[in-house]
Amino acid sequence: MKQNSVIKLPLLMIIAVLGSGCASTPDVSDAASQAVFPHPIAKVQKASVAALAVTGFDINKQESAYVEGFRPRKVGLLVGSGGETAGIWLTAKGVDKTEVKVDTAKSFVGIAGQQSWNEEIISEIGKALAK
Amino acid sequence: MPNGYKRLTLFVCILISTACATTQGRYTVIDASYPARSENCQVKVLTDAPKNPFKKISRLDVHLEKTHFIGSSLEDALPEITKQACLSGADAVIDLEERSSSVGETQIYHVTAIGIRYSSELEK
Repeated sequence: MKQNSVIKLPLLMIIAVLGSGCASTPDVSDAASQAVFPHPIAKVQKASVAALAVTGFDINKQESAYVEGFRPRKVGLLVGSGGETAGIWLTAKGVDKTEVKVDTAKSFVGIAGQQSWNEEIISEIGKALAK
Repeated sequence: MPNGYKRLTLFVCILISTACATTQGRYTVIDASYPARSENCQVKVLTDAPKNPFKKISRLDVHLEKTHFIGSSLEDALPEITKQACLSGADAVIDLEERSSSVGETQIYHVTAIGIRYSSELEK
């Protein structure tokens, strides 16, 4: 009985850690990075999806004015990486002008191996639009 | 060692070995979508644009990440590139672009390419 508890506890911890680690949600009010692109919102939305793909995010939500992605977790020797959720908010500021706001939410678990991807994402949106 | 500990050790080993690398592949339709070909179809990866008339039909993205300071190469990405090209209905791949970076011990390798369809195949 005692041995069973010793075995179950770490297993439960691992499951809880993996489960709770997916809970971070980006917030537009936390979006520290923003940019305006001289392109229509539909084109910038496509470029936003491409930017998330290039930075290693799986696309979770793909709406006309919002795109969200999650970076899969990798276990490392020391800290590993992944676990961030990035949100991209798009606002049309005219026919050919779109404002972009980006926020990366880090999850509590594995935060040491996580980083903000805001600047990389904005840079990649620019590159995708330039093609 | 009790059986329970052995199972736990095995579980943790499997978790670590399977979770230290990821391969993400996707394609995005450029204009119109075309019927998917089989996942293992024959797709040529071209270094220059072909002379025969063609149309760009898909953007292909393959993203590889490995921890433990292990890097990736084009060789690792090509199977996923050709798979995504087939799924998008492409006959060949052009405009390969590679980029590498790192986050801590995680080595990141990304390939972007364009799937094309020959004009003779467009009406099929």
